Amino acid sequence: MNTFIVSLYQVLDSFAFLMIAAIGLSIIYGMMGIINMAHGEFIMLGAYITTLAARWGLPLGAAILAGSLGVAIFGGVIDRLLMCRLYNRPLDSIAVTWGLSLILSQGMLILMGPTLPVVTAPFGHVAIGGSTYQVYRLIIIGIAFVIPVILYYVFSATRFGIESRATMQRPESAGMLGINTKKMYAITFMVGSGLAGFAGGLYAPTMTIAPTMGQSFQMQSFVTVVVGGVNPLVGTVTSAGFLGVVQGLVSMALTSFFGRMALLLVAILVLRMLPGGMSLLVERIHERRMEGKQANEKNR
Amino acid sequence: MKKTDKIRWDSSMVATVVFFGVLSVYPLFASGFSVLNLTSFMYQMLLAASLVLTWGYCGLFSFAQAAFYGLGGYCYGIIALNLQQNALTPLAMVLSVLFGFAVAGIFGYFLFYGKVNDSFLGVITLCFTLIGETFLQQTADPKWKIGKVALNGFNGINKIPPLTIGNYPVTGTAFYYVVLATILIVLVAFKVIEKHSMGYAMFALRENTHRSSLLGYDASKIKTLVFAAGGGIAALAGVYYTMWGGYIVPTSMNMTSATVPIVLAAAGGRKNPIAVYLFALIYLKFAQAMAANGTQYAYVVLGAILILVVLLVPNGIIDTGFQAIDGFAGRLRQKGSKEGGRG
Repeated sequence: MNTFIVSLYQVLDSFAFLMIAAIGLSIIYGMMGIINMAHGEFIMLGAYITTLAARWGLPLGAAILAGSLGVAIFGGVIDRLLMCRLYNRPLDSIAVTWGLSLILSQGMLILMGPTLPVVTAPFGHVAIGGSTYQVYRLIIIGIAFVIPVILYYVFSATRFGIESRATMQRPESAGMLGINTKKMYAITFMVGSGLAGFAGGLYAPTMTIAPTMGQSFQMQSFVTVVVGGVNPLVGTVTSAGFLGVVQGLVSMALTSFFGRMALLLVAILVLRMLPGGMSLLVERIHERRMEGKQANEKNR
Repeated sequence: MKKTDKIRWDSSMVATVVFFGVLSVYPLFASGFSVLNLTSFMYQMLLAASLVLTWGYCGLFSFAQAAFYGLGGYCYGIIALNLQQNALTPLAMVLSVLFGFAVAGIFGYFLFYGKVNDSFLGVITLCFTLIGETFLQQTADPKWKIGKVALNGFNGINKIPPLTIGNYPVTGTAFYYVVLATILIVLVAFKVIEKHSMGYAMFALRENTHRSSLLGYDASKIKTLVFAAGGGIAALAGVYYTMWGGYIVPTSMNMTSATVPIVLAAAGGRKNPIAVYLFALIYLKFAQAMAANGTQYAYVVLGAILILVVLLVPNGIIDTGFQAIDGFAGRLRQKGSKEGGRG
């Protein structure tokens, strides 16, 4: 029984990490078709701002919000300077944002040195079954489940959400209906950056704060987004779920290195079999069910 | 290629002649250290050249060249240390290149016969390279060995013998000329392919795969062959790296190592091999000078160069420069012939 709980925790922990790290990148990819190779560095920036704010005296929650806001503003600036020239150019965006990631990580190293003293995770430990778990990490898992719910609400019930879905699907038609697509793209990039900052702030108390910490986030969130496909909500959730299961279980059975390799291998296989990623798979299943329903109604 | 094809003396050709001319006589007046240094730049040029073939000529955006580089190096180290006979190192070299060719061929078969979308090619090849790096990183346990050679995780394989012909180790200036000859042969081969029907097929696939396959070109077969050839060239570069330093480590396949050749090819001019060679030389010299002076700004500058090049000169700085020179020279010639005709 305890092995089951431990495995469940591993899977949920992987899922949470992938979900939270990838959601910002996924929204940007879904809306503008650009891959932000500096996403890891945005997360790193969020972690730095949060840590500095917390050490300055802010409570952790406020520090995390400060981190998200700071990176959102930074993202807005970067969008105006660089990203607006790269919409729908995925290969060029990879090269430019990789250059940006170099500047950011090296710049942070020059500015703040190789490490920063950490903020420790609050709330201590709890014992479940036969093992103890960090309460903070359990809270993170909870947040990872709350984010898709919030996103669903935003995308289906708010004007902004509906307009952004319209822009994602048919940007020209959306523009003709009066939606300011340029403003939409700028806001989306800021939201995506803010979510990256949030991820960094959230995970800051659990890791060493160093300028290169973005790298570990980058690879995994990148893979999650690509496997997920263009739909930020459905794609990221299913992809993070699937890859979380794979990585969690393999890490437990073997080592975390093998967990990472399994993640990458699965990504290759999914991309080969399902180029549209999980979003495409879900869409096809949905279409088939719709056709089935229509056929049933006709027969009646 | 017809025998009547004359060599076009454009700026690229002039640059090629000057480049190889200077490099051929460089060891005569440079120190042993400078020669070794330049050798290391040259095998990195070779790695970037493999991208000219796959990406510049055929449109295959591959992050996997670093993987074949590392695999070639590891293969050479493992074979050479297992054979224990330095005279057999040329055999190890040939086998490693063939290994790189074979792995790339199999991987390419999996990708191109599955009609993978071009933009996903980059992602898949990146994942492939990272799998390789992650796998090699976790081989620290002594149980991970091939024959007598332990893979050693992060530390990699050390004490790998250099290329040896008979009893003579090919190091220093002799090795410099081996690598120089290689990059020259590769450049000439590329120029010949450009005029050959195989070259035209590659360019056609690069411009529009669908249309080309409708015209009868076997897209999957050509792409797989090109990718395999690129893998072989990258593996050779890796072999030279291993011979040069005597070691091979997993970081030769990390994200940075995978991206640097792409940056060099993109910023130099990926369709023009001499442009890439020149840019690689300039950039590597510059980065080394910055690092030696204690500034940590080398990566910042590389990042800034990449951003500016992709946004402003998407065809590469050096290649755009060549085209500008050619355009200018062409206009001068036209003016001259007009005035000559009138006068």
